[in-house]
Amino acid sequence: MGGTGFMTILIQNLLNGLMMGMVYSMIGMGFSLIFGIVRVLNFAYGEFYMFASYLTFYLGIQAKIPIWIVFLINFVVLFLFGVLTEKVLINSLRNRTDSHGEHSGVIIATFGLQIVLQSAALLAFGGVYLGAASYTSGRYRLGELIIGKERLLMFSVSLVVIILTLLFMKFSKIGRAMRAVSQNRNAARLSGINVNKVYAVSFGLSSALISIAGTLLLPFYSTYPTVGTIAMDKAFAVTLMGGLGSIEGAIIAGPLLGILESLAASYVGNQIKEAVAFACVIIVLIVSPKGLGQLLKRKGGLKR
Amino acid sequence: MRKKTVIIAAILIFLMLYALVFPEQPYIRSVIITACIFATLCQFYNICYGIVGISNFGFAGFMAIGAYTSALLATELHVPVVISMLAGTALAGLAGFILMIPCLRMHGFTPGIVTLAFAKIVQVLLSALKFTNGEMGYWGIIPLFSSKRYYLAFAILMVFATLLFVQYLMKSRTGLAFRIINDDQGVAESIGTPVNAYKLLAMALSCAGAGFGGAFYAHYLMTITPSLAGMSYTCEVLCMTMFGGLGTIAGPAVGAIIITVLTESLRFLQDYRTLTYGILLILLILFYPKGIMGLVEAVKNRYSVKLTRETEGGAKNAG
Repeated sequence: MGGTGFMTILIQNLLNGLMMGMVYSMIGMGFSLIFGIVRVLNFAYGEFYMFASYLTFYLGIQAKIPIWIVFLINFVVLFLFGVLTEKVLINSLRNRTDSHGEHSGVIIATFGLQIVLQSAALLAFGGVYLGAASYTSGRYRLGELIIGKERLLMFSVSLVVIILTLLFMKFSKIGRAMRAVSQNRNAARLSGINVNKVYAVSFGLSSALISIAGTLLLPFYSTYPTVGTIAMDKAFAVTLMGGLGSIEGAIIAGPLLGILESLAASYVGNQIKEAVAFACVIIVLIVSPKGLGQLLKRKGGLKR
Repeated sequence: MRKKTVIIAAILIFLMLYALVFPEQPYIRSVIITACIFATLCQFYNICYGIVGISNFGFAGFMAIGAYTSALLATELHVPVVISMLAGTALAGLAGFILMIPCLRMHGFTPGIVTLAFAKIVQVLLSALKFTNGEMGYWGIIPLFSSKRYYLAFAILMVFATLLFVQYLMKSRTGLAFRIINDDQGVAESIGTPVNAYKLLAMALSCAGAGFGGAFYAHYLMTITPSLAGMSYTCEVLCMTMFGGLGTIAGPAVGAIIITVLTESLRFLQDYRTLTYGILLILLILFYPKGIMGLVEAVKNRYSVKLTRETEGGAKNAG
């Protein structure tokens, strides 16, 4: 290790973390979307990831369908699955709120869905790890830094998806309706927005977002019936740091989490990197209970 | 009232004596003990989530703290098991108390997810540390009693004691304050209720209960793994509590017993057991979103409606 070793390693870590973190942003964004708009904590969110990664394995690796088409198939299938879940499971329960104001029945429903999907996967595919080597191999060199093509692919795909989602939310009619519902659902309903349609689309969009993460991360984590917990952990960490329901917050918190994990893995130890990530989450929450999104707003950094 | 107490005491003494002379049937005994442990855990879980309304999705983390503290103290340092269990209980309660301090400013699901993050930290640390034996889990824990019969008797006593405690709590000033906070925190503050103190108390109490349940579980099973702090245990307790009826006095225990017996009776399905359990859970919540206690109320209402209709009909006939 030369004299510049420390700095190089540090920058390399930051870079790796940033690239991985973009995928986390996407995962967190999907989770925040449901919470911000539908006001539901979806504990089966990780299982949507598992579903997508199995789909990727069987379509992309076994049937050798080009990866771009797999992305599209996954997107459509998971979107429809999300809409179906909302229509069948969430919608009928949401209208019957209890005295807590929050939908405790919905929590059990999502837990039940989690159990069903996990055990169905175990029955259908067995408890084995199925994985892919990688979609692309090779690396670019930038001075002393190394950028793996795999990570670059992950970074760019997630960035494009995030930007497209933001544009969709900003300019499309249903996207504007989604934002309106997240601000005030009664006012939105009064101004003639079909709130049920908005809920269904948000659920679908959220599961479509995590389907892309499922495809991207397959070479990293392989797939097995309980792989969803990994995605769930990331979703929780990102949304907590960014603020529950805040989409901007999730986008900022993702790379932050990636960098933290990457630094913790190389300086503290790989085994407890998760603990470091969650400890940081708790610290962020103590400093600013509504997450980073609120902190930015307080500083006047973001308007609306 | 006094008559009721006598009846309850008589039932308790009968059950405990019966437990001591219970025929040697390890399977049924283990099901009953598990049901009792979960019933106790659910009762305590209900204090913070059901009665005061502080969400907590990291309940299992506190169970694991109690279990590991007690197991390590008793087995490694040869502390008497009763004292080590109390130490586990106290430490879990203290952890809940400290974690609640930053959560005082949070609302809705946020405290729940903070506790979830905390449970995750506990789980990761337990699987990374050397003296807890990592992912392999810790075994060879010193048992609490020499015979499993005593466990059964103690488990029954534990459930009864918890039920009576919660009932007493709900009738006391503290319970009243808890319910006001749950109904409307603003009103509670405006009439001078020390909301923060009560919230801290509720959380500490609930987590101490988790620690005690976890410690008993550890000394009963004599083996624990870091997955004890995992989401699946919290999920189990949450589902049982909600199934029984969130915020009711006896609902959580009823829910715990029904769900434990239900999952055990599904064993004949073998590989399809968890799948069936999940589907049943979804169906139950779709059709009875308010849990068992909601069902009981619905039956009562239907019955009373029928009665009034009958009397109306009778009045018409008479007229």
